[in-house]
Amino acid sequence: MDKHLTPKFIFLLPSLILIGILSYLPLLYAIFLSFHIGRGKSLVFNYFENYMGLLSDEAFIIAFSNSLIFTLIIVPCIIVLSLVVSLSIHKVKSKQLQNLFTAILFIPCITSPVAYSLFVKQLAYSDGTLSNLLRGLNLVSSSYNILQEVWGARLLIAFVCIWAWSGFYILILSVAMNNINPDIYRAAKLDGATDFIIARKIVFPTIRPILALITILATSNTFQIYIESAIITKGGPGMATLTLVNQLYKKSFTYVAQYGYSSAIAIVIFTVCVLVSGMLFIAWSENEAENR
Amino acid sequence: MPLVKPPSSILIIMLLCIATCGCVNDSNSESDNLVTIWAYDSSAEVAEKAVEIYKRNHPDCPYEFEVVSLGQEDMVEKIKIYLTIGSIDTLPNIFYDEDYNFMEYISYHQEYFVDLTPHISADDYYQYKLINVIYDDKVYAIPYDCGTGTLFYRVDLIEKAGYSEADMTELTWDEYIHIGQKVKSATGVDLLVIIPEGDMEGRLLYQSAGTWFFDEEGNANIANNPGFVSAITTLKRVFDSDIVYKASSWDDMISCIGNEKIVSLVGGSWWAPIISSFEDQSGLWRVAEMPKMTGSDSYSSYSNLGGGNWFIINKENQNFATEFAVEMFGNNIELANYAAEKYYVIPVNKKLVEGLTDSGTEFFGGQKVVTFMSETNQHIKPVKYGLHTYEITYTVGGYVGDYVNGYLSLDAAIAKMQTAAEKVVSSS
Amino acid sequence: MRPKTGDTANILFIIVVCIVAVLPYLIMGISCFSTSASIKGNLIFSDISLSNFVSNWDSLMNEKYFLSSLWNSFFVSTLASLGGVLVASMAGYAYTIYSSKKINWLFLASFYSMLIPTAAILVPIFLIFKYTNLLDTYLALILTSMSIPFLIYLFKQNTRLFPTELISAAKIDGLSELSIFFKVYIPYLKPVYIAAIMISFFNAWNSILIPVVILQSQYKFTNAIFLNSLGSIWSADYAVMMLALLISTLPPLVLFLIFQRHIIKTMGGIN
Repeated sequence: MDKHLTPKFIFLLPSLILIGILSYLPLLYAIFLSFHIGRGKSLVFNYFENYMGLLSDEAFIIAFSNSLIFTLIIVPCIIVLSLVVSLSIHKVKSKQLQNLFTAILFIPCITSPVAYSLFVKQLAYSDGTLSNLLRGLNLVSSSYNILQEVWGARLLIAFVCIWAWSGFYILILSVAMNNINPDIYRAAKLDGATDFIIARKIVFPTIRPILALITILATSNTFQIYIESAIITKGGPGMATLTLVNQLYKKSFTYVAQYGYSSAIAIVIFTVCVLVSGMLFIAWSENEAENR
Repeated sequence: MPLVKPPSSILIIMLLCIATCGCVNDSNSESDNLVTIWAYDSSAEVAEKAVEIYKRNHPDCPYEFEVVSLGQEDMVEKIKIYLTIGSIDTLPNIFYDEDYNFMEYISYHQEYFVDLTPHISADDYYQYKLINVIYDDKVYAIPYDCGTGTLFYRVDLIEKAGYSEADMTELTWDEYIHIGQKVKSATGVDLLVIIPEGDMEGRLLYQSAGTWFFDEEGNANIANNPGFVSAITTLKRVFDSDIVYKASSWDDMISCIGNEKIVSLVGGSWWAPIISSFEDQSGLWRVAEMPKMTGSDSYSSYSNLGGGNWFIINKENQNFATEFAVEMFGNNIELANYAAEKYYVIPVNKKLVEGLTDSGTEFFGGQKVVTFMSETNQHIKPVKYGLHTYEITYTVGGYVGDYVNGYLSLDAAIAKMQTAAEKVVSSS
Repeated sequence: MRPKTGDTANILFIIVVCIVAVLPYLIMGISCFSTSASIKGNLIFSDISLSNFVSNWDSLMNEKYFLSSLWNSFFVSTLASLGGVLVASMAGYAYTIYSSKKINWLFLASFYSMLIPTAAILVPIFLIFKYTNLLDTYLALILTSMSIPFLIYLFKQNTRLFPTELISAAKIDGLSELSIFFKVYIPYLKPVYIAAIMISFFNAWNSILIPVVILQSQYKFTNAIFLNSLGSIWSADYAVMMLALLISTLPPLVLFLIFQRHIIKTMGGIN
């Protein structure tokens, strides 16, 4: 029997080829580029100088810290929000209503990032609806321009991201909660447990692995914010909302192309995502082991 | 009921067929005598008109033209990508782009551009444009227009504070600020709109002093550069006088013209068509030279921001494309008049400048705006832009923004800008 | 049971969150019946009328590449989702049914490719397509719009619900492995397929980073690229812009509303 024709390989080969060529091959090429300087035929091996250069480049440091700031703001907010909302949905008695709410909350996730970024950008103009609202409520002065304020712009982008991504996590959490055996609830209620205790002792332990997954996904996504900051604030004011992927894109396509440098940024992003995922995964596994 | 009915093999073959059909159709779209022109905004319209005039003058011309209008950022990104990977067939025959990108295109990809030295007579052009189209002692682009630094202002608003047109010529920045303060107290309207980190006004000022972020050899030239320091301290004085409307984006600037939130604007001449698009303000605007910095005789009232050139790619049909471009963009007076009248495109070819007819512009109260702007050509100081303009503008612009907003002291800002400029040069 | 106040407050809270979720659509919907002038500077748009909508519509339809971009998005997203789902479901099926240590490594390799940031591989992918002469083709666009790693995970998890007795029964009937896949597995998991195709469709519809670098011809632009280029050209007409955004977000929205039960059920099965 010819091994290569076994059904296993027919099933697996197309996806392996596609992933290999469209994900891993480019990754290896990016790693290769990151150790070189120059371009095209005049690539010069540059050891680790690109990476060292990153450390002394203020633009990179600002971009890195911005991505970090976004992660520290957005990830906890998304997790807390998703938890709270999915718990609330879980409390609703009617299954149909639950499904309805979950579906509605998922709608932002299928909206194109370009579309909602353009939408928010328009709202945030100094004569746009958002500014008019803030002025109408007398929260700001008449010359306030949210896109010109460092923290105004950052919080705006953070809010947009939270709006756009929560639905997905709410969905996953809701379904996880619904998978909990209802008998356990009845038993707990008979024992006189309040909602709060039920949440803590029954729901949380069950969804802990899901929470770990969500944290990993959210962190990875936030570290790679690009379209929102590129369209809404273009990295402004100054470099206050410049993210790592923004800087990468600029160094590859907008400025005089420095593929070695931008590939180094790419590898940094990749490494951070992998490390964070790894750490969270280990932390969760340890928790699991403890709980057994 | 199964979702996928046909046997798998047929489905896969279908998919591949549809996909490859897409490919096949692509390669048939280029015919042999097609000349593609890429441009943005009004230069695309000018290109269309050029094609029209050319066809009228040459009815037997066997070539077809295609003018593609893209957003400037998109176009530049695409061109850079295609140049980098040498994808000649996806590049256009002719394209228009601003002075700042010349060095990057030519110094890295010299072989893809047509040497225009035999077709361009250097004496016809002003020095400040010439030095940004010459590389390796050859001319690689047709200098086309300039974005001469101009002060646009609302004459009706300044009159409310007791000023007149005569007061607005040959201003220094301090005089301009003073006028702004009086007009603001009389009308409540800010003097001008600035994007703090856009550094558009900054670039105008640097060139008006004959200096730039980098020196002739391309080294960072910010610390110990009196012109540069003078420029940003002037900007800070403007901001500190509380007469600036801070915008955060291009669209913001445009809408505050429309909403009458500003009295004036200091910018390139290409603001003229944008301002005149607000027809209900017709007759209320005037132009004058931009304000001048004080402190040295070498500071002038003249500068350039974002004029452009036409490049020709070294691919098939290049001989015809060169002939077309030189004839239309380099020598055609009818086109120059059309562009100047409709789009305020100010030519930089001395012969074309002489051939311009100007009967006054109604929007600017009958002022001969085109003549005024084209006459500034001779005063603009030549500055070699070199590489990295976008990157350094973005980086320095951020620090300028911080400085004028008060987050950085002057010395700290200068130091950071110098470091950033050195970094940009060294990492390429 | 008497509704407790806690329950009512709970539902009210959720309703508020839901309103925030769909607020942009509401605003877009109202804005396209208005004019740009009345949107600027005003909180309540004063000028709402059908004629405004018609004029906005006309302006939008006159935008040369808007309709073609919608068609391109449909075309590319459909093919990318069908193709991607087929390839990924075969892989997901195999990873569960033929599970072994070595096979599991392959799965992990496929799964973790999701961690590779798209921006990082932008230039290399571009170069790959350049050297295979596939730049600016629909094929390249379709291949890069398939979100295969995630779909593989989806199918692997959902295959656990597929009873293996059916496989044994089919084998007894003399069906080959491939036939089992197409004749038994796919029909059984039809809801999952629908959901997967939809999710894949949304991803392809919204995909922007790689397409904007690959595509050069304007007539081939997808909707996302078209909108992105709108953002870099000055567009001061707020109302037409809102109409464009609304129309652009409608196809995925409508598809989602039609198939949402399947989608939600399947996504939940990820656990």
